Amino acid sequence: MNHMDEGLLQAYADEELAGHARTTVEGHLGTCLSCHAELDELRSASEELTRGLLLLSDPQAEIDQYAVGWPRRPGAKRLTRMAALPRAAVLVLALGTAAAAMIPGSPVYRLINPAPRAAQVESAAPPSAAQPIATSTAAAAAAAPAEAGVSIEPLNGEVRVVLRAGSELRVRASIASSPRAGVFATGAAAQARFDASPGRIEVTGAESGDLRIEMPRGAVTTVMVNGRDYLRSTDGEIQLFAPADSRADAEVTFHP
Amino acid sequence: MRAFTLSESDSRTGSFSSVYRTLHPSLLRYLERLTGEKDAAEDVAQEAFMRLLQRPELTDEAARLWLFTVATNLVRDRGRAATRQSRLLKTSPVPIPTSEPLPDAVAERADEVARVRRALDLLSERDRQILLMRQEGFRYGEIAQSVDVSASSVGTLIARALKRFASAYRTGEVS
Repeated sequence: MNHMDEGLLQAYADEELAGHARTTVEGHLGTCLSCHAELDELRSASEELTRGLLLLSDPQAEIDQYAVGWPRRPGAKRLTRMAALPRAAVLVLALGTAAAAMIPGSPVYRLINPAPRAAQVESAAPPSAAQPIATSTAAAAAAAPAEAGVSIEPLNGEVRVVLRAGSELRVRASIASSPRAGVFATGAAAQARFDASPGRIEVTGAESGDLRIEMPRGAVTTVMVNGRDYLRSTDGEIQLFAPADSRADAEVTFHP
Repeated sequence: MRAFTLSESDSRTGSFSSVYRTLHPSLLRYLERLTGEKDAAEDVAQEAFMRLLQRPELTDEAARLWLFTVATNLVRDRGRAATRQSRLLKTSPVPIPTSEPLPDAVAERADEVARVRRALDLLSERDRQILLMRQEGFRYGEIAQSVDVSASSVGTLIARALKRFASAYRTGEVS
C-alpha cells in the first residue's frame, strides 16, 4: 500500500484540503493504520506546540492559577499540563471547604473586543485576585466556572471552529445575527481549553457538558470535530456532513 | 476589498486605527514568541506599523501578511546587525526570581516555560516562522508567500517543523 505524504496529512489536519483531495485522504485514512498513526503524531506535536506557546505567552498567570487552584486571572489561558500531585492536593483542599464557601455572583463571560483580543479565554468565574490565597482557594473552588467562552470576528468572511471533544459532549450550533462567531461552554465543558486567533477558535478537552456555537449569518463558518468537517454554515444555511441528534433550519444539535 | 491609508481623510485614518487595533495584539504575540523578548517585540511591532504607514495601497487583508513578513525580516535584520542582538532569534533565558527558594509548583512551571523556549530556539528561523504564522491563523498560501516557497510544500515544511519541535521539547535535541 502506498502511504500518504506527511505534507498531505498535515494539510488535511490543518483543513487545507477540499473536495477530491480531502476525500482521497479520508478514504486512505480509513484503511491505513500507519497513516492514521502518522496523523495522530502530527496532531499530538501540534497540540504540544499550542500548549507550549500558551505557556510562553502568559506563564505567570498559569503559576497563579496553579498556586490558588481557581480562579484563573481574567484572560489567562488554560493549560492542562499540571503536575498531578500538587494539583490533587489543591483539589482535596478545595473540595473540603467548598460547601462552606460563598459562591460569587452569577456566571458571566466577557466578550472579547476588538477581535485580536479574542485569543483570550473568558471565564465565568469572577476574579478574586485581591483576596488572600488561603481564602480565595476555597471560595474560588466553589465557584468553578459554570460558563466560559470566546468570540471572534470572522477573517476574510470565514470562521473555523475546531473541536477536540468527547462523545459525552452535547453541541448546539446555530446561526446567529451577531457579526461575531462564538463558542460558549457550560457545565463540565467549561473546563475545556479555548484558543482563538483571527478567524479561528479551537476548543480542546471538552469531554462532556454543553457547548454552544454561534455562527454569524454573514460569514462562512466551518465546524470541524475530532479531525473531520462536521458542518458548514453559508448564507444562513447549515450543511451537515455527519449525523446530528436534531436539526432545524438554523440550528443543529449533535454529539461528537 | 477595503484599502486603508493615512491620508488627510479622517475616515481613512480611522481605518488605519482599526487595522492597528485589529492586528497589533496578534503581531505582538507572534513577535514575543519569535524573539522571546517583550521589549524587542514591541520595538519591532512599532517599526513594522511605521513602515505600514508608507504603504497606503495595501488592503486590510494584504496588510496583515505584509506586516508579519516585514516584522520577521526586521527581527532577522536586527539579529544580523549586532551579534549580541542575535538573541532576538536565538537564546532567550526565562527570568526566574532567585531571591528565595521557589515553591515546587512555580519552579516546575518555570522549567516548563524554559523547555518550550529552548525547543523553539533549537529550530531554524524558517521553522519557527512557519509554525508561529500557522499558529496565528495564516493559511498555507500566505505562509508560502511570506517564506518564499511553493504553497504545495508548506504542508511538508510544517509537518517536519512540528516533529522537530516535538523532538526538541521532549528530548532537548532536534532529531
